[in-house]
Amino acid sequence: MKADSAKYLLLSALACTEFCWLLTAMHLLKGGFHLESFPMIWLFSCYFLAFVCERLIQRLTWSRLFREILIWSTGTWLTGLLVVSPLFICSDGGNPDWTSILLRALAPWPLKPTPELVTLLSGMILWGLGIRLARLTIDFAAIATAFQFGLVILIFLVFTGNRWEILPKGFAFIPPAFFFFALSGMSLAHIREGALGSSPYRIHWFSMLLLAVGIILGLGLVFGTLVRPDLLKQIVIILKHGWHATVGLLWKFILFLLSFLPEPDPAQMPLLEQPGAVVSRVPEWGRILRIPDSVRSAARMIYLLLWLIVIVAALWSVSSSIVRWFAHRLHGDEGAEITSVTGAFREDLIRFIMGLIDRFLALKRRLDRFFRLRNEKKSIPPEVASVRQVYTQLLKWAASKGCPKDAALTPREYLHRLTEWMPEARWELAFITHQYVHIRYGPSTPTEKVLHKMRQNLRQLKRYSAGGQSEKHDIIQGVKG
Amino acid sequence: MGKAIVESDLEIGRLKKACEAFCSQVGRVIVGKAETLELIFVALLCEGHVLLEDVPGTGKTMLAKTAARVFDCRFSRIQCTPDLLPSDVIGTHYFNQKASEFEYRPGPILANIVLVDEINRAMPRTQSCLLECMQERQVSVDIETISLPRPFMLLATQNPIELEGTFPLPEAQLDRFLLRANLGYPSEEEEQRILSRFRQSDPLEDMTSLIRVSDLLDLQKLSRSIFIEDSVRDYIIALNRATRDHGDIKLGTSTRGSLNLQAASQALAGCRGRDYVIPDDVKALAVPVLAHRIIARTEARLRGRTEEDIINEILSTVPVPTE
Repeated sequence: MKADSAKYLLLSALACTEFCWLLTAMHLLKGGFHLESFPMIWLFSCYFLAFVCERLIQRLTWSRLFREILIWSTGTWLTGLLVVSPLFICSDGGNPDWTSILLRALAPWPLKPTPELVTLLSGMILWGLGIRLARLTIDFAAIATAFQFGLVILIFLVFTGNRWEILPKGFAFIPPAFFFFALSGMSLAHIREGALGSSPYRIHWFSMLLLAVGIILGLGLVFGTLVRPDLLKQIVIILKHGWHATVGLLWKFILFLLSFLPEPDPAQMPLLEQPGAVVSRVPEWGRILRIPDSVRSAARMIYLLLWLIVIVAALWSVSSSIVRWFAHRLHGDEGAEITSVTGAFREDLIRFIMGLIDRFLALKRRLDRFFRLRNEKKSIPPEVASVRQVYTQLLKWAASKGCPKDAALTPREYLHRLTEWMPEARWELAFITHQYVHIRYGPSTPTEKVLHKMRQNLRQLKRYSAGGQSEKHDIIQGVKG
Repeated sequence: MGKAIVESDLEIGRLKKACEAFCSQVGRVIVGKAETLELIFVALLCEGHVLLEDVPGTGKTMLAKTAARVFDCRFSRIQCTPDLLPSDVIGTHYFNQKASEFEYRPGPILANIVLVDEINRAMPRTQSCLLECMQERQVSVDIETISLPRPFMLLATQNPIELEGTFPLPEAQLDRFLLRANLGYPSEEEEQRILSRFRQSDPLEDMTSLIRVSDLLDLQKLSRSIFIEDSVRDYIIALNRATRDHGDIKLGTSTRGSLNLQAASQALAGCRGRDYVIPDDVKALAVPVLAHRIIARTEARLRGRTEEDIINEILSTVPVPTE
């Protein structure tokens, strides 16, 4: 098999594996939020379009920041377009108010998810996943983790969908498709990458994988067949009886212990309230502490989110331990160091969070530097500022002529490069650089004479450049003639 | 103002002259290692310790002995072996029967320049007794604490190839060396000059001391007074921080690394006749001062990357403070 075709097949397998659980998630969103006009096809085209755009943008030689801005701004525009498109299409020819639609989409956030908001968020998530797919190194580890992560998500979605009774009609085809794509991808990756160490299980690894999946599915089937509602009811009744019996015994024991205590004096007992009297159960000061409904709903949502996180974490933990055991058995080397596979969801998440923190710190450093430089510039004497200005002009001029300065080069190192680039101007270049270094890093200030000479040298340099260019032009013309 | 500048120039001129004198005097014995000799003088100005690491027969011990001869100071040598005890280094109390009392017999560490030959052959217990000497410049013998003479400099040598029966230096100890220097094999021409010089007599025997201890202490003070601009100081910090965030480094440099790089840059600027530090000084010293303080990841080592390579990569990425 050719390397390129294997690579594209792997990529397709990974994309289809992701597509399976994404499709389930989209159906659940559609059913859960009763979204009649949910643009599912367009949303999925966002996923594939993001992949294509990212691959194209990667070829550009721009800085990373610009490329990021470009890809994410494209994604935002496209998803924004998806949000406003239904109204635009259905409008009676008038000019639709796009701004108000977008504002309406974002206004109730985060308490009431509107269809527009769900579309917008889903679009952005799919766009991000498409970009991730384009950046991912496709290998066995990536496919294995996509399988691991996808399995967890799929189980969670099935659980949720079953509870809300909103599973789509054709859902029965999604899990087999998911397993098919994931397992095919893993086997392809295995063939592509060759051996998996010197384990005795190496040859039968695919059979083992199928066996493990088969056991899991088989056990699920057995449980699904045996555990009927009436059986569950019987089990619950038995448990209930057992619980009541235990609590009853405990209560009897407590009463037995209480019987040893002396009887209370009736005279010292508190008076009972008069029947019919209206008692304000909530005191006046207590009303201040009453929680508003909006806060309650927000708290409820946070509570729900926390539970979801706990469930996902638990599922993740279980599945990762299974995969770790599987990897350990595959590897077979006793005492070998098993490292977490690259591209795993956990790795991605950690990298994402670390990246966010790094970017935040970098921004802070840049801002600090900017403000400090501004303060420094204010406090720099005018003569020193003039020297620095002359050097800046030199840098700009050299960059415009094709010899830019690398940020990690010192002025002296750059001087070497400049003199190699323009040997006829070495004296002028050396003078300007040495004076700049002396003034920039030293404690002294320049004299007017030095400053004048620096400017003179800079002018001379520019003349050299112009002369050099005309000379080169003459030579070329001469050769042509 | 003008008078102050002239005085400053004269003082800095003293530093440069001393450096040149040292290099030319040691250069009579050690042929063609001008950069390493300059580094040794920088370490002397900073009162820092030097780790000379190279294969046998490249002149490590000879360099240390020659460097000590140039100064009119006390020199001692400790040959490290696995059975060397801390008391052999720092000295011990013995019972003087005539005076009927315990007396302290100083060890070889109580000298101005101490050559610790093949330091990685000493067992960890002895190596760690050197920690206190290197950092605190004092020794604790029983309940007594004795200050070491000033200036105090430790020149240690180690062979990085022959590791059998050796005890690698712990990170804490490596961090206490101001810089690590390598000599490397001489070129063909240099080797010819070495053979002709050592043909009849040992040039080390004719060496005379050039610099007095009091002068050296003055030069050290002078070196510490060299101006360092804020942005250059920030550059030093940025380099150190970059070692802590680099993907190929398991353990980055400590704050002591920043302090030592600053002090060494000041000394190097003085040796080159400047009363201010420039980023070139920092760059020139980054590898000798920082490389031995970092620990590269196993993956990086397996890829054949050395600590020096990583520092050089950091130097080529961290922006220099200019316009």
